[in-house]
Amino acid sequence: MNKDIWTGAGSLIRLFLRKDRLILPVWVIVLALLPLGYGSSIAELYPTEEMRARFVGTIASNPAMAAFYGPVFGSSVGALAAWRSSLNLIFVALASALTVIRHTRTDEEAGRRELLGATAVGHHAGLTAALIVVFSADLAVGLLMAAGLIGTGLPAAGSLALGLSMAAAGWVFAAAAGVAAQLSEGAGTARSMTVTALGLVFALRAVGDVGESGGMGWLTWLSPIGWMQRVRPYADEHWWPFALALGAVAVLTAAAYRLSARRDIGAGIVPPRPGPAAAGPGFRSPLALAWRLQRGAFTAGRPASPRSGSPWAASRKARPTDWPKARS
Amino acid sequence: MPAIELNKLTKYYGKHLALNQVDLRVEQGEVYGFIGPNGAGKSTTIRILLGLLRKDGGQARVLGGDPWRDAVTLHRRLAYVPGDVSLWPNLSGGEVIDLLGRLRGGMNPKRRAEYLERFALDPTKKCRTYSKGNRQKVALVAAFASDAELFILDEPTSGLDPLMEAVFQQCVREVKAEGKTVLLSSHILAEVEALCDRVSIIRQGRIVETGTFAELRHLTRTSISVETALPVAGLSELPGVHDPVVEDGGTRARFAVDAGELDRVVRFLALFGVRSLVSTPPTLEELFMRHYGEGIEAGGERR
Repeated sequence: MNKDIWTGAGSLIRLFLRKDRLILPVWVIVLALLPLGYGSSIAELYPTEEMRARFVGTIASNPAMAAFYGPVFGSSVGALAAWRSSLNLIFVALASALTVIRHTRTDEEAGRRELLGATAVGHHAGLTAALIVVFSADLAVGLLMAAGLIGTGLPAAGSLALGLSMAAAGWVFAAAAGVAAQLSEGAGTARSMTVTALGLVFALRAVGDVGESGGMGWLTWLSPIGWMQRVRPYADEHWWPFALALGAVAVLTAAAYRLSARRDIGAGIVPPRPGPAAAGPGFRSPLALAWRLQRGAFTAGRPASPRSGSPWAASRKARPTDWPKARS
Repeated sequence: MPAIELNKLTKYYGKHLALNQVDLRVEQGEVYGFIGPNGAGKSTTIRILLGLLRKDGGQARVLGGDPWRDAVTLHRRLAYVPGDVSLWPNLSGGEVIDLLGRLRGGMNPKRRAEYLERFALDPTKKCRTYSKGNRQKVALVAAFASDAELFILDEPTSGLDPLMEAVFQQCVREVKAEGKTVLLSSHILAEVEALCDRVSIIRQGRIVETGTFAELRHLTRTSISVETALPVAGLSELPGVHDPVVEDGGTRARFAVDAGELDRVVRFLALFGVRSLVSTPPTLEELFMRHYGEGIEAGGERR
C-alpha cells in the first residue's frame, strides 16, 4: 500500500454524483426543509410565549413524548421546532448510511467494484469517494437548513446549531456504514447492521431521556443522536457535543479504512455462513418461500454475531420436524 | 522480463485451499491460454494478478511490478475483461466505456468508434437494457480501445454469439500482431486452440499441464476409424491402442491410439487391406476430458 490507494477518488465522486443526480438533491432538499415547516406550524399553533410555555409543560409531563422526541430545552418557537425536528436526526443518519452502503458494498456485491478495481483506481478510492459525497451532502443539508431557518426569522446561532447537528448525525452514521460495508459480503447484511445500530442508538436515547430523573440519563450519552440533541439549539447552544460526534466520525472512519486495507475485494471481514445443501421438508409453497426470504429481517441483529449461528438454525437443528406435518 | 510470472502462488479462502503453488510464466507478446473447469482457480489467479485479492504465499509479478502494491501504476498498462460484467443500470453503455477508459488513464477515440462498430454495440442504450452478451461487449470495447500492453481476459466471450466470437478472435490476433500480451482464460477449447501459443491447464487449484499445443499433443491420442478387406485380429494386443471396438465380423474398427504408436499401428492395419481410414486429430478437448474425466476427488484440499 502506498499513496496510490487514493488514486481515482475524484473520478469516482463524479461517477457517484452522476448516478445519484436525482435522488441525492431530493433527500438533501427534503431533509433540509422539513424543520422550516415545523417552525412555521408551531408559530401558527402557539403564537404567544404563554401558550408555548403551557405546551412545554404538557410535553414535560408526558414520558411518551420524551421517549419519542427527547427533552425540550426552551419555550421559544425555535426551541420547539428543534425539539420537533429530533426525529430528523434519524432520517439524516439513515439516508447517509444507506447512501454510503449503496456506493460501496452494493457495487462490490454486484461485481462493479471488480471492474473499477482493475482500472487505475486505488484500493481506498471507492470508500473515500462515498464518504466525501455523503459528508458533503450532510453538510449541504445542515447549511441549507440553517439558511432556511434564519430566513424565517429565527436566531442565527440556534439555526446553525440545529443544521450542523443534523449534518453531524449524518456523518457519524455515514462513517458507521463505512465500517458495516467492510464487514459483510452482502449489502443487505450491511444495511441491516446499520439500521440495527440506528435503532439501538435511538432506544438508548429514549430510555435515557425517559429515565433521566431515575438516574438512567447516562444512557443518552452513549447515543450519538442523544449528543446532537444536547446541542440545545435555540436554548443555550452547547457546541461541545460536536467534538464527541467528530471524535466518533474519526474513530469509525479510521476503522473502516483499517478493515478495508486488510480484506480482499468482494470479500467481507466476516466470512459468509454456508446455507443448507437441501431444502427443508416444509419448503414447498409460495408462503414458505416468502418466509424463507424474509426471515432475515426478523433477526436483523444476527449478522453482528455470525459465528454463534442464528437462533433459527439452532431451533432447526433441535427440532428437525418443526414444520407442520400436515404439509408433507 | 516476462509479462506475468507466478511462482508457487498460494491462496486460501478461509480453510479452503483455492490455489496450490501455481506457477505460470507468460512472455511478452504471446497469447497464453489458461484453461480449467469452473471453480478450478482461474478467476482467483486472475484477481491476484489484478491486485484485487491478496496472495497467501509465493510470488507474483505483473509487467515487472507487484500486483498488490503497484496496482494503480500497473493498471494503467493493462486492460481487464471479466467473465460476468456487471454495469451501472442507469448509465449508458457509452458512458461506461468512457468511464473505464478515463479511470485507466486514456482511450483512443478512433479505436473506440472502430470497436463499437465491429462489436455492433449501441452505446446510447442504458446498461439495464443490455443482455449478457452486450454487457460483455461493453467491457471488450473498453479493453480493446485502450492502449494497454497486457490484456487479461477472464472467459471474455461468455454470452457472445458465434459471429461476435469470430470478431473477438480477430481482435486478439490484431493486438498480438501489435506485440501485446494476452492472458486468455477460457473453458471454450476451440477458442484457446485458435488463439493461444501456449496453455496451462489448472485443476483444483493446481497447474496440471503446461506447454505449447505441439507439446501437449504428445499426451493426446488420435482417433482412428478403419474399414478393412480382411477381419482385423489382434488389434487390442497392440501397445498404445485404447478402447478398440470391432464390428461387422472384424472388418470395421474404431479405436484411439497414442501419438507415438501411430506409425506401428498403421503398418499393422495395412496387413488387412485398408479400404477406408478416418483419423481424427487429437484435440485439446480430449486432453481436457482425460484430465477432468478421471476420478474427480471430492472437494478441494483443506488446511
